[in-house]
Amino acid sequence: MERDKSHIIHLEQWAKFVKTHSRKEWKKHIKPFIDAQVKKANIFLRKLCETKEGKKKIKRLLRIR
Amino acid sequence: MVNEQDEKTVLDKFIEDIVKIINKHADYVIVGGFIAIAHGRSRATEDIDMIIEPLSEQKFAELHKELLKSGFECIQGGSASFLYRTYLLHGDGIRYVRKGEFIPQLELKFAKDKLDEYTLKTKTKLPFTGLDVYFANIETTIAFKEELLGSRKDIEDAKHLRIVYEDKLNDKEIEKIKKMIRLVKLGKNGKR
Repeated sequence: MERDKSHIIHLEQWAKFVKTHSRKEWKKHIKPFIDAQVKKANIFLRKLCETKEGKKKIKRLLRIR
Repeated sequence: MVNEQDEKTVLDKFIEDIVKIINKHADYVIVGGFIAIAHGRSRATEDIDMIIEPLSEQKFAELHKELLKSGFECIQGGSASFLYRTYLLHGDGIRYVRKGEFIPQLELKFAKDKLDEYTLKTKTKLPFTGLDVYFANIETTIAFKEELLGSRKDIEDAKHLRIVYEDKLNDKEIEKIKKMIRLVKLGKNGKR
């Protein structure tokens, strides 16, 4: 499925922001978002791990052979 | 006031900690999506990909032992010998996480062809990221994402890097690597 144009415009605008601002500035926007995703995923996976077949499901979710 | 350590994401800290250990045992290069993320691409990832020079079983066992001692674990489980013979020798990756966590994961593979060797040989530090680790260079990363991987996410990563490194990219090098990809990874006719 094609993403709408606004997505590409946002991507370009954000890349330009990164290019033209200090790392300190763009990291301020990125860090909470990345940290929260990782934290949330670990909480969910720990809960899933405690369920029946949870470990097997995690292996499938994370594509572990 | 925000110091540089506070700016670092959980992915940055994970990679810095694990690279400190791997660097003592092997020549390595970080490849893939994390390079775009370290350049401000607004997405997270479950795994960070790394290619290392092929090691003997004994040398790998030493690396594995130190990773375990330092608070990491391999999610496939088993002994170093099992991991080496079952995965690494066959060109498959093994994944390390911090003990008790599921993500982020480091997917570690041995270099298995000329392109992997070239990626290792041309590795570079990228000051823009603020991370003191070796990455595949930007030309290699863009070529792989555009020529080999090609998902929407990969194309967007490449576009992001092209904008960030506008005016600094070596387009001839990108084309050279794309040609190598067609020969080595896709077969001469370029079919996926």
